[in-house]
Order: sequence, then structure tokens, then C-alpha cells
Amino acid sequence: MDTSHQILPELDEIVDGCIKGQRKFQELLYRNFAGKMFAVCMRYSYSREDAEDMLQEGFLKAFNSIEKFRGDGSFEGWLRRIFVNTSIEMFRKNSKMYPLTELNQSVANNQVVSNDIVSNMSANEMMQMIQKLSPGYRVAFNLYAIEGFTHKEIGDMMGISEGTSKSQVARARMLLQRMIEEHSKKKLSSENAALYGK
Amino acid sequence: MESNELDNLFKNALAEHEFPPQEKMWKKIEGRLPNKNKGIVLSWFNFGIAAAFMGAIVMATLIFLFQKNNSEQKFAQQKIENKSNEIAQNKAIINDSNKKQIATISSEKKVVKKRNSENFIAPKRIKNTNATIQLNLASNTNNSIPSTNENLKSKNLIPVAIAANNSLGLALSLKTKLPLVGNSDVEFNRTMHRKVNDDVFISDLLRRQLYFVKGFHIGIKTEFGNSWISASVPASGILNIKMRYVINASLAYGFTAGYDFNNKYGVQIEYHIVNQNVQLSEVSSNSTLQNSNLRMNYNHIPLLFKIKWHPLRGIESKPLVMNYVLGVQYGWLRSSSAPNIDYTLIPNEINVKKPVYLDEWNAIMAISYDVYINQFFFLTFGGRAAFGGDLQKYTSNDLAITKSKNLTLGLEFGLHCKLPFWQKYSLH
Repeated sequence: MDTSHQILPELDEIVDGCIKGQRKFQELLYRNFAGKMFAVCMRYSYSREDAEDMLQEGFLKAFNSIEKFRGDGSFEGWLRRIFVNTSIEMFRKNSKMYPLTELNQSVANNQVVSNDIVSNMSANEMMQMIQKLSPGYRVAFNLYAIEGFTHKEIGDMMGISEGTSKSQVARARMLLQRMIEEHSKKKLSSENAALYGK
Repeated sequence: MESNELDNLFKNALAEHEFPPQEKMWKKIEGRLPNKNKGIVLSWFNFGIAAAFMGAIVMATLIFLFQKNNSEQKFAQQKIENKSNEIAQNKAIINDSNKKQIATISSEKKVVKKRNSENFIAPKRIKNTNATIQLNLASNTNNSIPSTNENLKSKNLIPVAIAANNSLGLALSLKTKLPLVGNSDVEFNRTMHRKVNDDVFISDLLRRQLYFVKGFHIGIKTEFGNSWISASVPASGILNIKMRYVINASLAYGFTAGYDFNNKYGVQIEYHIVNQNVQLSEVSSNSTLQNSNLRMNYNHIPLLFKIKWHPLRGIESKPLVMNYVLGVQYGWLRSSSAPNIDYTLIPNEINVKKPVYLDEWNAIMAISYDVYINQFFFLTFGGRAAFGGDLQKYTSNDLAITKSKNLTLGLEFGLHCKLPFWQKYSLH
């Protein structure tokens, strides 16, 4: 059977359909990227409900501004940037609730965690740890460690100084290391309990 | 652990991590999307076209029926006025010998020709109606019970009846389903998993939502309808003949084959075998009401052009395709019979079994919906209107009848199978 003529819908076709406002293509776009974008939202939020709100806002922005996608870069990168910006906007709206202070850098680096412990953790466990950070730490760490922005860019985006950004990231690292240690201790004790019995 | 190492560990674990949201999330987003969707605007536009189309058909039908009723009323009045004279005249004719009858016919022909020259109404339609005249004479011997010769007269009117056919189609056919589906599923699955581009991978979920939009399809169909005719044998002199048509249904079955260029345009050719059972009520100048029952078998070949539109539905819903159809139809009478006619009394020059072969044409307008069962099969239902007429005049025994025109309204149902080669997939 000749299948050489079989053609699948291209991303360009999906984007064109979204530009025309065609619901079926919007849904197709959503279903293709919802998983990745929801993971982004989860990293920037403190709960699943918060992430779901963020996901809605992000996709609404994407559909409303998809005409601005010029096609000269990765569409996923463009879409991810929309979600990151949405996360930052939501953070800035609530920034009065999250007082950010510049911390002593040396305090943040005095914790040491074994690589073995971290490498044995699942992505979901790491996600939960990030969600436990306070909003300022969480956003700054995500932007710096995962998205790859500089402290100056982070400062501009979050409306804080470069130094505050550094201290936020450092504090986030310290807290994450503590959580990893606690996680490893719990895991070790549970393994011992399973091995020797309670 | 260094700071960079911690950062990299989190980045490697979470940067490309996927976390599927709940299914209800799309519904929430969809509910907040603005209604600038062209599909919604288009839907009202399409429904407007559909309503206008159906309204035009209804209006045309009403106008046609109104005109027909008017002509029948006029004829009934004329019939009552001439009733007594005609009966006396017919009785005189019946008592004469055959030679005398022929002589009378000749004289009547002259009268008819003379009247035709004076009155332009239907002069050409009744040049010489030996057979019909004989039928009239015979039928007058018994006015209360329609005789076989009276029925025979309806045979002479078959050319008109053909265009007045009431058609009901019902079709069933077999599919080349099993081998096609079996082979294509393998290719289908394999092809659906190929990478679309750097960013998008078609998932299993999406694979199940893709449908053929380009390629061949075959199927069966059924059609139910009724026709109205605009022609009849004209009334003139003693040969006043008028027909009324009783709505009746018949069965047909047919096959379809089509090709879709894409998800917007397609062509389709059909072959129908239409079995029509037409009841005719005829009123002649001698005031007799004669009923005839004709069975006619037609072959129809419609050639259709389809403009397809897809009402917006969720990806997880099966496609619903609305078709605007334009086309032409060619038809010819395959065979016919008059079951209530005594053939032994029929003159040799009239062949009842094959009274006439008339080709006819129709222009077709239709609206139909395709409802998909899966990627390969879809059901079709909709409405169809056909209007047209005979391609040539019918002449037999010097009887000439004007070309008839007809209007047919019908409902159609069908089952179609998409052939899985040279196909293109899409979401419709």
C-alpha cells in the first residue's frame, strides 16, 4: 500500500489555525504543549490549584498573542517564555505579600549535600521541594537555575535589585539542600524500618 | 555539592519535565476563549444559506402546486359544461361501424387542425391521436368502471408520467471493509508516530483523532422522495385529457464513488436503480376518471460537486461534515409495465411493456451531513432537490407531447468507506 502521500498536520498548520481562531487547532496546540507548560506552572506555583490558574492564563495569552509569533525560533521556546512571564506577573501582583530581603551570601553556601542523594530523587520530588520554597525564592531559583537568566535580567523581571536576586537564589539553594537532607534521612529511616522491622 | 551542580541537577530533572494537567482544564480554557472564532460566525452563515435554500424549494413547490390546482379547477369547469354534449356525441360514435369511426376520426382531425389554427393552445401536441381516440371511444361504453383500454390510454401518457415519477430510493451494498481496514491500520499507526517537526510529536491521543480528508471513497445510498410534473397532454376538442398525479413512493438502490481533493472540495458520481410505482389519475373530456398504476424502472447517474464545511467540534469528537452539493443527473427508463392492463386488448402498435424510452436530465442541489463512525466509515444523511425535464419530445402514433419538467424533493441516507490509499490525514 502506498503511504508516501500521507501527510500529517504540521506545526505551521496548527499555528495558522490558531491565528484564525479555529478552536480545533487551539485544542490541538493545547494538547501538544499542556504537559510541558503545566510542569513550568507547577515549578512557579505553590500548589496544583495555583498552577492550574497559571496554565489557563498562559494559554489564553498565547492564543491571544499567537499572531506575534514570527516563526524565527522554536515555538515551544516562545510559548514557554509566555508562561514564565505569566508566572512572574502573578508573582509581582502578589509581591506585597512576599517581602524580599537581601541575605548574607555566606549563609547560603555552608550546607553540603551528597550528589548521590540528589541523583536518586525523582523529578516530582524535586518539583515538590521547589514548591515548598517561598514565592520569591521559588521564582528567582527557577529563573536562574532552570531558565538560565542572569541576575540582572531576573532583577529587571521581578522588579528587584541584582543583589537581591543573588541572595534569593542563594537562599533557595540553601533551603533546597536542607530539604534534600531531610528527604534522605526520611528515606534512610524508612529503608531501615523496612529492613529490620519496626 | 557545589551551587552549580545543584542548579544543574534541578535543571536536568525539571527543564523538560512534563506534568499532565487534568482533562477538565481544556474545558475551562475553552470557556474563557473569545468568540472571535470564524467557525461560529461561519456556522450562522451556513445555516442562513441552508435556510434560504430550503425556503426556495418550499416556495417553488407551493407555487407549482397552486398553479396546478388552478389549471385543474378550470378544467373541471370545462368538463361539466361539455358533459352532456360529449356523452351524446360519444354514444353516436360507439354505434357506428369501424369505418364510420375512422371517418369520424378523420373529420375530427380536421376539426382539431382547424381549431389548432385558430387557437394556439396546444395545437402541436395533438396532431393525430388514432389510438387515443379509439381508447376514448371504448371507454365511453362503460363510464363507471375504468376499462383496460382506459388503462391503456394511460400508457399513451407514460411520457408525461415518467417525468412525474415519485421516487423513493433505498439502497444497500457491501463494503470492501475488512482487507482495507486490516492493512491500513498498521500503516496508520506507523505513520501517525512520525515526527511532525522539532517541537511536536503526534501522540496516541491525537492519532485517534485524525481522519482522511483526501482520497477516494465508495459507498451505498438510499433516497426517498417525491416528484411533481409541470406537463400534461393538453385539452382540445373532444380529446381533453388531463392528468393528476398521486403522491407515491418507490424504491431505489445505488452505489457511490467519490474523490475528495481536500477537506473542502470533492466530487462524487452515483448510480441509482430507481423502481417507481406511479399512480396516475386521468380526467378526459368524457368526464371519466381513470386510474392507472405504472411501474417504471429508471437508471440515474448523478455527477456531484461537493463543497464541504466542518462545524467546529472538540478534537475528541468525531467529525461532522456538512456538504453543499451541486450537480447534474442523467437518467433513462430501463423498463416499465402497467400491471392492471389486459394486454390482449391492446392494439399491436402500442407496446405497453416498453411504451417509451425518454432520456431526462436534472440539476441537483443538496445539503447533507457526513457523520464519521471511525477513520474509514461515515454515514451520510441529508436532503436533495432535483429539477429538470425530458431531453426530447415523445412521439408515438403521431402523438406529440411537450417536454415535461419536474421537481423532485428527497431525503437521502448512505454509508461510505474511505479507501486507505492516496489519503491525507487531518483533523477535519
